[in-house]
Amino acid sequence: MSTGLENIRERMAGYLTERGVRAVTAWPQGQRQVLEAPVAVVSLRACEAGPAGFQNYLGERYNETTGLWEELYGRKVRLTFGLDLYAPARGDGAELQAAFDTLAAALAGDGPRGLEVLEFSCGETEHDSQARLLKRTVQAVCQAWLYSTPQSGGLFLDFELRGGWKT
Amino acid sequence: MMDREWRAILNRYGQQVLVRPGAGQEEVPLRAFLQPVLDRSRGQEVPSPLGLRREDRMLYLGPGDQPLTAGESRVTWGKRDYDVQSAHRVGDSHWWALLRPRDKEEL
Repeated sequence: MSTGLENIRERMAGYLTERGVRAVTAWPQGQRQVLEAPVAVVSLRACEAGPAGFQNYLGERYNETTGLWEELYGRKVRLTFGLDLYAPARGDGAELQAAFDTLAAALAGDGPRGLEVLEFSCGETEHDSQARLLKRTVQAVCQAWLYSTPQSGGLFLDFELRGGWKT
Repeated sequence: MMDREWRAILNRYGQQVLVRPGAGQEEVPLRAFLQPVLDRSRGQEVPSPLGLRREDRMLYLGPGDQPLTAGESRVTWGKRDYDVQSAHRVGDSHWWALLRPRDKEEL
């Protein structure tokens, strides 16, 4: 069964990379690499899934494949992504600022497929003494809908992630 | 006199290392003492958002005529590279430095 949230960090990292932001997912297994340029580290800070509509009923949709109308059920999800920026501890922090500008531009658009960017915030640049790097905390709050159509017998199997809902 | 004795000790008992004083500079082969710094309070490797981070440190004692600069110099011992975390010249005879394992090079 798919919950619709698998590889959500990888999807965000891929979206940012396509828009010129060097991005990786947080907590990789391997040894840390030498950081020569700023990087956005994508983590999932929070995930809140709640009811949407009456009994999670979202409406109907015409399925062009089957030629039938089908009922959609789902939940509204609020995802808080950590997009912390790290940069080598050198210079005046201009590299980090430039990376933040690129990141902000990337999130000003539509956002990753299936996700709607609601909020975007950052802290100030600081020196992370443990990591021995410059760091700026960044996070983005996104909204999505997890929805599914019931299979025969009323069974729900796979959920999809969608950013918007049109009636 | 003291310097000569120190050099004799280094030549006899020191480990063979390569010192790169700064970025883009040539490596200098020399003999120095390298010893792990004992730290019971933390692990040798800790997970971090960017990957496993080495937390162990090495103590370096080397000849006085080869300066080291914190944050710039690099020491190679065997197959392992170390960055210089801090370095001080002690008198005229030797350099004392704290080394940390260098992160894995980017692919």
